[in-house]
Amino acid sequence: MSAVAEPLVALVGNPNCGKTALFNLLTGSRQKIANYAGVTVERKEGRLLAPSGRGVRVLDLPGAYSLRPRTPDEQITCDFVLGRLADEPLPDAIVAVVDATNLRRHLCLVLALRRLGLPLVVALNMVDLARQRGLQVDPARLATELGLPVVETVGIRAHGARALTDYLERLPPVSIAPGAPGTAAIGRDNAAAIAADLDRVLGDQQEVEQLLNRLGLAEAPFETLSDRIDAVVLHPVVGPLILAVTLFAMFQAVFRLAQPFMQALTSLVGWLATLIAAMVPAGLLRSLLVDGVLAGAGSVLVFLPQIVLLFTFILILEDSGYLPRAAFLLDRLMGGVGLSGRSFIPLLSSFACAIPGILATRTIPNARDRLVTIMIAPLMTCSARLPVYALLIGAFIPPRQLALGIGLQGLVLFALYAGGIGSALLVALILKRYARTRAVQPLQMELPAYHWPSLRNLAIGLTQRVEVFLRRVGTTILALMVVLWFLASVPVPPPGYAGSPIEWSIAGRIGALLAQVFAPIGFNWQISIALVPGLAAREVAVGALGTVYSLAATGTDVAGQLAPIVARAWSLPTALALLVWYVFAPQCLSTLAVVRRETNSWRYPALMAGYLFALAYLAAGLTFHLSRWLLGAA
Amino acid sequence: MSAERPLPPDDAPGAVPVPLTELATRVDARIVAVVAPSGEGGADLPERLAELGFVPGERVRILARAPFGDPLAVRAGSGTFALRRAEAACVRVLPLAARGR
Repeated sequence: MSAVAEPLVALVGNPNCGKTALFNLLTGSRQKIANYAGVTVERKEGRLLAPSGRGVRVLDLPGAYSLRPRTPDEQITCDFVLGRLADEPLPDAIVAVVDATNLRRHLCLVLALRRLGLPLVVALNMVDLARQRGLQVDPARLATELGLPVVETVGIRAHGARALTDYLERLPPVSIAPGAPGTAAIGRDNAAAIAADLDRVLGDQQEVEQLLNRLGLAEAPFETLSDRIDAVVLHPVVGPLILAVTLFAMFQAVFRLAQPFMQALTSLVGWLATLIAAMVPAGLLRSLLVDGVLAGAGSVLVFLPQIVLLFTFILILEDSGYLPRAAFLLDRLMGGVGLSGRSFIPLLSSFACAIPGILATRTIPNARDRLVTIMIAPLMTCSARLPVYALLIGAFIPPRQLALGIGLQGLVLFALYAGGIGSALLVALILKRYARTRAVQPLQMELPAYHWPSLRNLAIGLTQRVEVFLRRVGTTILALMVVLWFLASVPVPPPGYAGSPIEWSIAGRIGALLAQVFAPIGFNWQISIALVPGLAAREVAVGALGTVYSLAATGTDVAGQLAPIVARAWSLPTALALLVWYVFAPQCLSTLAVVRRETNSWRYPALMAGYLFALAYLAAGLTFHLSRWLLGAA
Repeated sequence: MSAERPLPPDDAPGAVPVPLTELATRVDARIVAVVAPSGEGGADLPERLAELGFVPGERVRILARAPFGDPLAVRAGSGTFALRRAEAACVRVLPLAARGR
């Protein structure tokens, strides 16, 4: 590398200023997502490749209304621009992204940033929307008024960032000087400049007001198209109906549209297994590849289409501005169990996977609300539980048609989802009793103007989530499956052993021990073994059952061939108990690890694992004995 | 319709400041003050509301009330925010003269 480093610029702006769209436009797919040291606030850095070939590092800081932080996200942004973050040097320049249709509020943040004394450029974003509303903002005059360079941008258009790119390209080169002097000092000096009160807020606002007056922008048109949409979407009767239909259509689509893709993936995995069987001689290696790798990781990979679809819907709803409206409509309902509408978005994401759901709780400013949301997120039926549900429902619930074209199997699936939601609300209600304060809980949730979702943002958001999922399949789940395969394969039973080889193996013996714990709720030793890797990643349980029942089947055919076997081997009460077990199912280790990081303590993951285990055990036991009694009585 | 003319700050004759919560839906008003909530806590509420654009002189309108009347979707200037009734009660407004709506 040369002695000149690429400059680092940070994007700062209010939430909903179009900052992330601009970031996507600047950096395209050259993005790296990590976490800030010590916290799990997402750190999004990308690289801008200017036409001249010069590279600029671009950091997308979390949105902030001011430099007086109120959420973990805002805290990061504030600490970053003050140079207070460990391992994060001050940026070489700050790009203050402002929404041209919302100058009055957004310019206040610019004034606060200006006091920091760092090189600052204002990106006047969404100028297209401002023009549509009849607002003509003259960037040159705004620049004179602010004493700062101002460039126009349109984050959702292909060449909308050209002016900003040109500006960033001309940034002075940065020489590498480890431990650049005074970084920490700047941070301390600036702290005083930021320590502000209501007077400072009002003072800034007056300054912005006068500035807008001079630019002839003081009176913006009041009523907008968004208002007229909101008159319908937020209507107290029509609004909830639209929300219900939207969510119903979303889940229907996720399950129906994903079907052909899932089948294609299944056959692909099966085809690979046949290929390996043909090339690798029978023995340990073939068994490892086919039973361990393909049957294990493959059975999880099949859920990729559903995850992609669910996130597509969530991202479109988010990008269009609808999600906060859904939260608005549900706020009172969730307030009944001590939560706020803000918990809706994390909980919705948890239907795909609890991990992004728990990460999304960072936008909840109230610490208690955030913690409760984290604690109940695993009760939302994540897509990882689907393979287990699909297997058991297929094996034990007859495909009978009830009235109105509603199938019994679908109804049971719906009941399992509803059971999860219901118990989540119940847990929240119980936790509400322990809430300490009755003070005013602020909501203050912005309802941004509606806009068409951008295809680029959707593609980038989706790619990032798919990557996370695939990395998980390729690492955690794959490793676990190999370990399980190993435990289930050694030691090899002596010649003439009457039982199945797995009973002799380490896994078989662990299962026999666990079976003592689980026998009272109707689980046999095979289920008990499968539960162990199921703790690490729920979806593995199906593959594990496949391995345990020593199937000759390969790949994800496991589920298909497993169904008749378990239908013969288990009683109906056992199957129902296992279904109910998975409604609560002590969640996967990855979830617990994320909870540990988010709450920065072992207490909450331990509490979570404990309460979910207890709930699962009790509910499964109740189901087992109740259904046995009912069946016996019938 | 979207390019509504700016209206002069002509308050309705004889109007007195009321909490924002008492404003009817889709009726315009102007903010006269943002006060701290009466109960414990929430002392920095006026500051936060000010940051979000709820400042004296700003034009407001309740766009919608959620089912069961809480929270409220409130337009203040060019931004729209969902506020709980308890928060909205801290915002005192003067209804503007009806203009043949």
